[in-house]
Amino acid sequence: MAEEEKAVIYPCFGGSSSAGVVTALATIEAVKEVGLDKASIGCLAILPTYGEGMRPQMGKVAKVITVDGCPMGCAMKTLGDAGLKTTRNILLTRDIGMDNKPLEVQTESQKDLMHHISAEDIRKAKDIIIKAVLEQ
Amino acid sequence: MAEEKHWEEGMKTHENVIFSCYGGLSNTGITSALACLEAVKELGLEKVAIGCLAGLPLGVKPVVGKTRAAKKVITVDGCPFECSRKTAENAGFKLTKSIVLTRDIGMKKKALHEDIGEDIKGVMEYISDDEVKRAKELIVKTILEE
Repeated sequence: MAEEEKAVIYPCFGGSSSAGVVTALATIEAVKEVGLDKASIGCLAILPTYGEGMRPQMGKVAKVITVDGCPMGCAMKTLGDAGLKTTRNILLTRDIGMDNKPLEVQTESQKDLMHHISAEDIRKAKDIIIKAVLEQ
Repeated sequence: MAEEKHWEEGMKTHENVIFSCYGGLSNTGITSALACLEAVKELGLEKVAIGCLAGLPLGVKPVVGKTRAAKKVITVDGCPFECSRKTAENAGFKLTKSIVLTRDIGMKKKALHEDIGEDIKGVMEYISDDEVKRAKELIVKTILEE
């Protein structure tokens, strides 16, 4: 059964900071690269409401990976609170040394979301997610 | 690594907050995330930011505080499970608007696992630029309307 070999990745997508936005963009880049037969993005928001019902389904998944931007670790904690085990918890501030910047607007250029996001951070985050998906 | 500066009540923040379900197991959830990002790119961060939905059930203070300070709180769900609406409401927030893409722009939900072992395509082949654009326009309209 293909689903048994799959990884499900849960990014926090905390859009109020640079690191949270990078989790969303890097996760989708990782899934583009490895393909949906190897990995998909889980629905994190369903877990606080329907988490118990997800347990049998999640038991069939080979890897459950959380990707948090900042040390609040909301994706990791959400999985834990739903009683779901994780294989790997990636934390961008720790694992790729990213600075978590609040998306402050003090200048005209800072109004632009992408001004706060680094392509290099997305690439590094994507690489570490792919490594977690593919490693034995 | 620079020390993170935490937001506290009374500090400046984004005028409005949108919460995307980002339910990545279907085309609708991914579209919700991409459309929210596009809406923020279009309107700018003074006007709107994407809230940290996962922080609400955990009571993360800056997340709850920024949401309380927002003029409008809007949820963008892909499908009728409405996980972001329920999460925000369960955290005690009264929403300005709940957008559901299957209802409000007529999107058809496709669970991406259905094609595994059959003819699974690249993730972006399940996403329509036109649907992202329509979802973004609805979000922008909701933020700007009086």
